[in-house]
Amino acid sequence: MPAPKRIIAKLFIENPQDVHPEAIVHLFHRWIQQHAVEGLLIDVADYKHVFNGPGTILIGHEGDYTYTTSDGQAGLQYTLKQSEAESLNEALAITLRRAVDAAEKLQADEALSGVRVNFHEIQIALADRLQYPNQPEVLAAVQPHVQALANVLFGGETLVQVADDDNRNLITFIVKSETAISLENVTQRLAVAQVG
Amino acid sequence: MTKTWKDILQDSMPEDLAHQIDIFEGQIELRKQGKMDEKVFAETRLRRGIYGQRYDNGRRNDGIRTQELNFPSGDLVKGPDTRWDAPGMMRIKLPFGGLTVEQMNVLADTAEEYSDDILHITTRQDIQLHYVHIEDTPDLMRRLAAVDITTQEACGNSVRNVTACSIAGVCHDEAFDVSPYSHAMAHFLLGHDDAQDFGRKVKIAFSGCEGHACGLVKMHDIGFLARTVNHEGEVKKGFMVFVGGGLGTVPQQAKVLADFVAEDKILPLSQAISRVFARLGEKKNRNRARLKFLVSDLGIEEFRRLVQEELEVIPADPRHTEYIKTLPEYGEEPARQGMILNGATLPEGFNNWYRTNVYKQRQAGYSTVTVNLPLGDLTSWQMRQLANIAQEFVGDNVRTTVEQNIVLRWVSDSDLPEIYRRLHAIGLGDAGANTIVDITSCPGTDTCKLGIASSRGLAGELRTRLIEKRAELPKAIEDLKIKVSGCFNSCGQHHVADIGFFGNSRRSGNHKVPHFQVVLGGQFTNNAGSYGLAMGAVPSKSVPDVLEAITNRYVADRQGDETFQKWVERLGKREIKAILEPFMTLPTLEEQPQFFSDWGDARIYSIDDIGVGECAGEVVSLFSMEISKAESEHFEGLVSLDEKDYEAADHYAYNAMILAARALVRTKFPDVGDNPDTIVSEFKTRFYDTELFFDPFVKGKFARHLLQRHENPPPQVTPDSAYQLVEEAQLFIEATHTAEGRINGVIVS
Repeated sequence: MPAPKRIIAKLFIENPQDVHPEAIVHLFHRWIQQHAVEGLLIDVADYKHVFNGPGTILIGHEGDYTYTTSDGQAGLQYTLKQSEAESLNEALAITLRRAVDAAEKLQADEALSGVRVNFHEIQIALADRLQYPNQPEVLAAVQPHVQALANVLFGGETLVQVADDDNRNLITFIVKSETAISLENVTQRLAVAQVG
Repeated sequence: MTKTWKDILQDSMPEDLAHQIDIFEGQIELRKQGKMDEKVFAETRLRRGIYGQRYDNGRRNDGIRTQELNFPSGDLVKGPDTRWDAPGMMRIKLPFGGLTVEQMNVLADTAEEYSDDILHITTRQDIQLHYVHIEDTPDLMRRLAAVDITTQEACGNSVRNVTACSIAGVCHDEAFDVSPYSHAMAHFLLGHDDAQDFGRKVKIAFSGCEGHACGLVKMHDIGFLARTVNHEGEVKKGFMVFVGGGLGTVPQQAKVLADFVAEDKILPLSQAISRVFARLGEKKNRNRARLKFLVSDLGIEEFRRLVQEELEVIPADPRHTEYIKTLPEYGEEPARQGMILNGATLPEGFNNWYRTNVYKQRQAGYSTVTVNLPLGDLTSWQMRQLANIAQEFVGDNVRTTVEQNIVLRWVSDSDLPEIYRRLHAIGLGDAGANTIVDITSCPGTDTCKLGIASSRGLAGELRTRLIEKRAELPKAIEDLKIKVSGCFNSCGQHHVADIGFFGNSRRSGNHKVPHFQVVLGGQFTNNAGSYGLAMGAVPSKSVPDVLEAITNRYVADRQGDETFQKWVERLGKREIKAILEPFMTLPTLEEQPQFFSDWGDARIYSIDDIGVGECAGEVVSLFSMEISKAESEHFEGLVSLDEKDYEAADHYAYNAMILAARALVRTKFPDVGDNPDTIVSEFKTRFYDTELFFDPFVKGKFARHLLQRHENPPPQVTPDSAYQLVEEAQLFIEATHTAEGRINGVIVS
């Protein structure tokens, strides 16, 4: 299947109450200064005032890193916007790798002291209504790809759910597993499976 | 083959919009191939609503140093010093702020797929999407065009969105509903030949009444204020017409051009004003290029005389009055029967919300609900949920407002509690619409290249603090207007606020400190009846305390029901300055480092990132803009040859020559119109017969390519004839460029 125009991966924050929103603004500015995450990093956009919105976005050229509160659930999200990926699998792999990388850096940041990311669950959305409209047959065609990738990444039993039933929304899946994912695992397992 | 949005939406888009978008897509390719001048591309891009954003020159100060942003497209630019890959802004025009349910859903989709999931309502009832890539814009525009939305002429030196009162048609005080007139005006001037050669933008507004604010006609280039007169027992509709108003760095109140212009005369009048402005307005010095300067320089009497003179020579156009026939049919259809709110159980918070966010319409049983948007922002998800609410309760009766909110009109009163519950559930149930907590702000340093200080950061901070203590706020200040601009250019409309702020900076030691100039006593009512005055600059981080000091003093000093404007006037500048002075002292960086960062920004403040704005557009001659259309058609011809569609290639090549000839003819005869016979005839008379077009070596050869093709179209298009015509079109376009330079001198000023 072709690479979608945009693809989004979100990892959930376990203790959002311990994260001060201003600290994220500082963190993202530091990431720009230090080129701490992959891609050309441009600026920080602040939407903390918007209910269940994108929160704070580190705008990049290839993709955006977001500390989001969308759906009322805080998370670290990566949106792949520009890439050379030629297939859905390839685009998924790049997106997941960057999301997990950023989430690990977020969790390790001393200034945030104790933020915990849930590495057992990932939300994946395809932002491309031209190639991937939210229709039952398209969902059915995409789901095996997401399932296969999840199996590779988590290496065990995984559950892939369709996130909601409003077909105006993006095609969205929730991937859950008993085991946690790490950047090391992502990189190694994707290489072995040759999906990335 | 993979389907494109163009394939899918071909039959849903209005033909002219679809064609315009195709042309622009072709121009993107031409620019990428280096075949289109960067200034011409910038202006054509702006005229399609595609604007630059901060850091698009490829440099950004990260708080420690200025970093180069090495975009993959390298040196390719989409305008002077504007990197191709740098994210930009898309401005979407909504005449009079009107929105349908279908449009809301599509707008939500586009924000999600091309932008950052945020829709931003502007102070001129537009919607803006930020962080959009230039190459996504044709599809974005197609998706909007398919639901009858255009971005054409949303930026650049053109007629911008035509605004109108958001309660037009349901207002108690209006002379009549101005909505269909603003709609007609927007469509009449869109792409109009006489509105293509301005030195700067033109903003037009309609208002239904004199006393209230909504339309703000006195701060517009052209303002129409609804009036009726009794003529021999018959009530006639028309408008008081204002010209030459504007904010910007030098705010000016509009002058009355005419006390009463009949409803069927406003379109030719606006055309005549456009022609005078295009002919005599400043083109080189963009700081004096707005209509207000021309009106001021000429004087209103002379300007009026010139407009009158122009009115007498404007060619007859059926569009001038066609829309009048449709007026009796104009009306809004409520989705539900109007019923009174009677005995229903009211949710918590409803009464406060009802007091500030609900306007009782003049139609019994109906109200207009203001959805209070923080800083004018909402997410795609919220827009979809709002579309659901609209569909169920009000249908397509939705509008944006100049105070960066959305209104749901024709809400049955009995539905108000349920609507409040629904809005509350999606985070849009905030009370306080149009009160002191409902602060207007331009984008400022968040995204604007000209921003000096963080207007949105400040507005957000003030809003948060005011909401926290809303319950204790004195009644006297509840309805004060606060408006914030990131620089002196007034996009946040600070001049018409009770308390306005605009961004600037001051020096402390070796560092710059973000500041805001305090502007007091402006008037939002009476259609922006008077402008506030700057009282002094205070550090950005002191503004919340300054606001508290000013409002406390007003509450303490107020005599009876004295308005804020009267109080400012009575107190005088010296006393006001005394209130501000304690806040003007600057600490050092070591003493109070927080003063050296702006609101919502972790970086040490710098003014290194201020760029060159695109508000003024590129000053490109009318000929350059017109000939670029010919070049785009020629490009389409080349594409058609590739696709072996020879009929299309022939059509595009011929059109390209007609457009090139028209571009040249219009330098001498602006009213040539669109008819190919007239264009060719005028071209022949003015440039061929006179030999003005002639090349010193080949003489009139290239002109004859056009004349022959026009007189003798091929009975059957063959691959050879198509190839030949596409070649000839290219030669004709080149010859036209050369001739124009020879005849008229400088092309791009």
